[in-house]
Amino acid sequence: MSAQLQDKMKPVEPLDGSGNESGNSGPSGPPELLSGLNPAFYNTVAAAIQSLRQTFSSLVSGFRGGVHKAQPAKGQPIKPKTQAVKQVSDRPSVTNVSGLKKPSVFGPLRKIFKILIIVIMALGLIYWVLTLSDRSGNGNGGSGPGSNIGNGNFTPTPIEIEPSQPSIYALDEVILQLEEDINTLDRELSTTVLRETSLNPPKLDLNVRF
Amino acid sequence: MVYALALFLGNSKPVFSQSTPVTEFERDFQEYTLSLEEYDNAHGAYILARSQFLRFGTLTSRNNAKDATKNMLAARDEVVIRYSTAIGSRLREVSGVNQDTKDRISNELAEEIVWFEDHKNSLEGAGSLEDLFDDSDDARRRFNSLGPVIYEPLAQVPYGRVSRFHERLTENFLAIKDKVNEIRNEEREEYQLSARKLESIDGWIFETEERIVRSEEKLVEVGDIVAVIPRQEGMTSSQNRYNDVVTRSGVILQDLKDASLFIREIVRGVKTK
Repeated sequence: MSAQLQDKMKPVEPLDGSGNESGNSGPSGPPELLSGLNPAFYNTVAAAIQSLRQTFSSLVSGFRGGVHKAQPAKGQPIKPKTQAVKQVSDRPSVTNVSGLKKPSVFGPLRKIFKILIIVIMALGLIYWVLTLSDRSGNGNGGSGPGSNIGNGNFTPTPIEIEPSQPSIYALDEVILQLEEDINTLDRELSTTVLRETSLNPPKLDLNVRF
Repeated sequence: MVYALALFLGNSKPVFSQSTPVTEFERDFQEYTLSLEEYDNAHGAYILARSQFLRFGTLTSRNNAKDATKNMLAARDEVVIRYSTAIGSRLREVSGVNQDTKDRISNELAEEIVWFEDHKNSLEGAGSLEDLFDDSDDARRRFNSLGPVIYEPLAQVPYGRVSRFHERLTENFLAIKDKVNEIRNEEREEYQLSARKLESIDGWIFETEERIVRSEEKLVEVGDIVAVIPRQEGMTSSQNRYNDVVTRSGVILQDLKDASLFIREIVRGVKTK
């Protein structure tokens, strides 16, 4: 049994605060709030907390150390995982739990993931800058296909619309009648159909033979 | 049971019959459409009887084929009759076509209608399938010669319409032009329009005149094409001539639309300061 496991198996110091576990920062003593708890229960909880802390610290150190460890030296072949695992199990007992090295399985993936994140963030930043420049250039807030006409330098020509005032002939009967006639004619011109497709000659079977 | 019946009646929607034709053309066109449906049914029965006769060759199948052929030929003649009637009524409704032209074409169509009615009646006297074949060939030759008789009234319809539009537009234009001249010569200051306004209106008048004159020239060309359709012309040639008339009439129609738009601008210019 490794020393790490042996350390974990050591009983937690009693609740009366006589001492802590070697090398670990356990609870210094029973606080007043815990005075009413069962000491055995308290020791169990403290041991669980301690083991969780050790596991987390070992994972963190393993990620940090695994990135560098996953890159083989130039010219040297990558060692297979089985050998790495075997090496870990053959190591002498480690007294410091935090020094345990996790196998470098996630190293390359972590690097690729980092690169991907950076690329995506860069693309998003570029897109944001472009849309920002479009909005400031056109002032219409749109990003549609027509928003980049003239590279943002397009300024519409102001149309001088003169307000029209009715003349004395606005209510002239002759003019109004003419206007109505021409509007009617315009409607008929717009709706008339010249080709009567319904009156095309019928298609008949004219070759009757047996 | 009563509840189900009430539910059914309550949820049922009213069904309306086909709208009653109002004009003569609509009535004739409806009859033409019905005759087409009857012909399709008769033709289907003829095809079936023919195939059975060709397959079995029995006396019964031969008699059945003869009856089916006779019915189909009669239905075919009826289609031509109804079609000619519909064309005639359509031509009579169109304004802008000379009355003499309408009468001439109506007489020609009536001749064809009479011929096909006689032909349909003569089918009853056919003694054999061979007689029916000969009758069918007669009708085929007659129908193929109907190109000018069919396509001249069809061509007169668009020509008559654009002619009438041209006439009405010219009347409106002359009226507004007279009014503008009256305003131009007005001595009362409050009834005068500014020189700039009159200049703008003159520009529109010029554009309108140009469109009207151009459409008139094209109308003359179309009229020449429609008036001279040789009676010996085949169905295909007549159809091509008809298509040409429709295309040219479309161009004239566009000129008239432009002229109408310009006249509206003139009116707007007169109505505003």
